[in-house]
Amino acid sequence: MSTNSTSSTNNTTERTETDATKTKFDAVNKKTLEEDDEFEDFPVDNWPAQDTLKEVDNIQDHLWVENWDDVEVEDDFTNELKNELEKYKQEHQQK
Amino acid sequence: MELVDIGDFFASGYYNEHFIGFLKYNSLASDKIFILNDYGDDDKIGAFYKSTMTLREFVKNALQNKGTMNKFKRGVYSFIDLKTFFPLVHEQLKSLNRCVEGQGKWIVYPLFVVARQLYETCLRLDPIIMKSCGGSNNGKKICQEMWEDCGRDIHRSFTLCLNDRNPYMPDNRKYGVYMFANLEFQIYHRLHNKDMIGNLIKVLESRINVGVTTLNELPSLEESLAGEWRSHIVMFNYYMGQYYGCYMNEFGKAVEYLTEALLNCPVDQEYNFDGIVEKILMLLIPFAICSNKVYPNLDYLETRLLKNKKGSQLRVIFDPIIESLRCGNLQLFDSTFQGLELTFLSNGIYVVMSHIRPLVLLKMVKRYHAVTCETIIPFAQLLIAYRLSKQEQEQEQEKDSLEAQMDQLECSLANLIVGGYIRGYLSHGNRCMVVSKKDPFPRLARRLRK
Repeated sequence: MSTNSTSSTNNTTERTETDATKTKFDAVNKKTLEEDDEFEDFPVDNWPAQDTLKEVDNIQDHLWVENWDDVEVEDDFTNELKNELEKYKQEHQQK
Repeated sequence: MELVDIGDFFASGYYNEHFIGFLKYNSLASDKIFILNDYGDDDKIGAFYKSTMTLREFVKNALQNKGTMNKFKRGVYSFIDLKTFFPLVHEQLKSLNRCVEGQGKWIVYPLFVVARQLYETCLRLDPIIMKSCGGSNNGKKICQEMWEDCGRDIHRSFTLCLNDRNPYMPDNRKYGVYMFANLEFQIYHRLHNKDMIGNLIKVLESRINVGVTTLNELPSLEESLAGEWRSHIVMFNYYMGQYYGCYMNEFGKAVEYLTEALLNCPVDQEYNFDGIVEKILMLLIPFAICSNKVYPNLDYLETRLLKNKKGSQLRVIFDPIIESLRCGNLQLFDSTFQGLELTFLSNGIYVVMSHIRPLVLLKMVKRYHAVTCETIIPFAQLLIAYRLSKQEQEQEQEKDSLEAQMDQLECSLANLIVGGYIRGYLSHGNRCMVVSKKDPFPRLARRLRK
């Protein structure tokens, strides 16, 4: 169990992080609205077939990651879940 | 001074740089005098010649009076009398449209030059009109009418190409359809008119790859005039992908078109295509997540594809989304979604983004299963994982009764089973899900084609 002082520090860090994220998101929202018409000014241009992204080595393999079926992820979820499930089982056995 | 007879081109069915120079009002070559001898008595060609000459005269006088040529070439049109200018450019396209019937393939490119000139004129005039009207509704109305006029006559050019009955295909005007379609896409997009985009695509789709070679069948994009400009190939595929993904929710089809658009973009930075590559990826990434269950390597994307665009907004948007997918973190997904709603809406990806949430939930269930390894999953216990993933506080949990929360969870699980994401069944009576012993979570990722 954490003491009051550490938990309040955690809250502050969390809040600062949330604020920073919010600022980043708001900037993106603003930019999107401003840039709405970028495609309309599409340049009429040409370039040879060998200069297209199609010709970059294995671009599709590099660009796309297929490993999201993997379950091994490095965060606290699994440990926290184990603890919570343990607590839950104890509570229910006592009943 | 060299005399150039405009009638010659119609008589012999070809064009050269002098003819194109005649059409463009911003290339007022001083050493050419354009006349009309051949076809001098043809009403339609006569009217086209006259409208183009009037336009050229108007621009020449306007430049002599106030501005400089350089200013004009940069697109600073502010010294031009708007009320008279747009009708002149518009009239040029209308009068050339009337000459098209009976002409061969040669007319397609000059017609496109005139159509694009009208489009570009509208593009320049739009902000000037809005400014002069102080951004009022009246200004919006004038602009909308201008774009509608522009779209109507470019669609006329499109139809004149589409319905060419010339049985000799090498000289058929169908060769030009995609060029005009691209202009129309841009205009309808600006008018926010997705019905017009849909109609245009239906017409094209009904006539591409019909299987039987008939007079109706259109050449493919690559065989057509648009195939000569790679930027047109990119643009056409982009708009097709946008239509299928954002309007029709056919994500798989959208991925195909947008991949084609992306792969045709230039490697070389000199073409200044980073903005367009970014716009393509903004759509392609969520569609690929939903339909192929793959996500992009953002480091590769940033270092190899967007070299000039460091700190791309794609990173801000998709870093947390991918992280939430990898970890089954519903809290991260939900807070990102909430924060970026506006961006999703204005890019047309709101629907596809909301389709990603069930996949985050799926990952959470999978991680729960990896911990317990049991085939029977009681809702009450899965709910613990769900709350952890949502990082819900004690108070929030009490908003809904435990039963209600389990019902909600059961509903989401039902959808995952129906979608083929989980092999198993629900037991409502026992308040649990029973998953297959063997491979309860089938592998989902499907490689994107090369």
